[in-house]
Amino acid sequence: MMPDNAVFFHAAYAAAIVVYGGYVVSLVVRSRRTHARERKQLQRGLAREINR
Amino acid sequence: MTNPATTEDRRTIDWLLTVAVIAVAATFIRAIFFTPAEARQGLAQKIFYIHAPSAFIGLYVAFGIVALAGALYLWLRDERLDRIAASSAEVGVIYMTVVLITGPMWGKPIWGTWWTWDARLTLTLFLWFVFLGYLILRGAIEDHATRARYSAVLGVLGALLVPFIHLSVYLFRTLHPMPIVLKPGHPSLPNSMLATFAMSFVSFALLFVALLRARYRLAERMDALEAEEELEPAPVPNLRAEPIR
Repeated sequence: MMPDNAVFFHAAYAAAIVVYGGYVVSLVVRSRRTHARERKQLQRGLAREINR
Repeated sequence: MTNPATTEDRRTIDWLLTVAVIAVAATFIRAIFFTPAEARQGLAQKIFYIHAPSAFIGLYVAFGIVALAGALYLWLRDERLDRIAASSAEVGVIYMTVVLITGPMWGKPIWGTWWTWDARLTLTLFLWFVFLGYLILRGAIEDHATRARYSAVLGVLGALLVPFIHLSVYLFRTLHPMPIVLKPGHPSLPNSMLATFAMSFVSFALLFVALLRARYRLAERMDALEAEEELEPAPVPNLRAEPIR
């Protein structure tokens, strides 16, 4: 008779989705932060050009 | 008018990552609904379709790239090689995290224990700690060249654990099973399971390439920002501020 261990199988698939999905989210968040820094830097550069 | 945040997200979640996520989702659907369960292990055996490809790609591909790119960096001093190594190490740690989580979830119903300190499991945990240390080291050193040099050395030395992990099931008594697909001769899996395994292997490999590419692009932008910030003139102190009394 086949053992009933479906809970481990479901938990493992859920954990994989959380870890891989979480990593994609972390890449998106870091990319947005980098974009914000890039914009700030661009603005600082423009301000310096105008003041020159 | 386009939302800058949405445009920014599209730079990370590009076509390759979208295709990879669809491929992994299709693999999960095939593994869950269209692949027979193994008679003695039950449904827990289906953890194999996540655990084994993640282990292979994390261990051999990701950390192999870290070692190769690190060694080439020490020779050529090309910053792109350092970025490749760092990106591959981060994605590799993610893959090995999945391996270390799904392994005990498979072990508990089959072996009767979540964890055992045998050679294969212990060395894999050590490797995970080494590459976690690699990422922490990179975060702790500000100077580009020093960070790249130290982490290249650590990456090369850390990857030396990989052959020991591969051979551990042959050299030591261990609960971990021997390879059933990547071994001399024919794989010991029926065709329906072998097809699902092949699909899972391809989809996780595709996901690895997509994540590595996304992480590399992010590293490129972060390095460019740091370089620009280093070139910026220091802020001029306000000499008209109140005198110190």
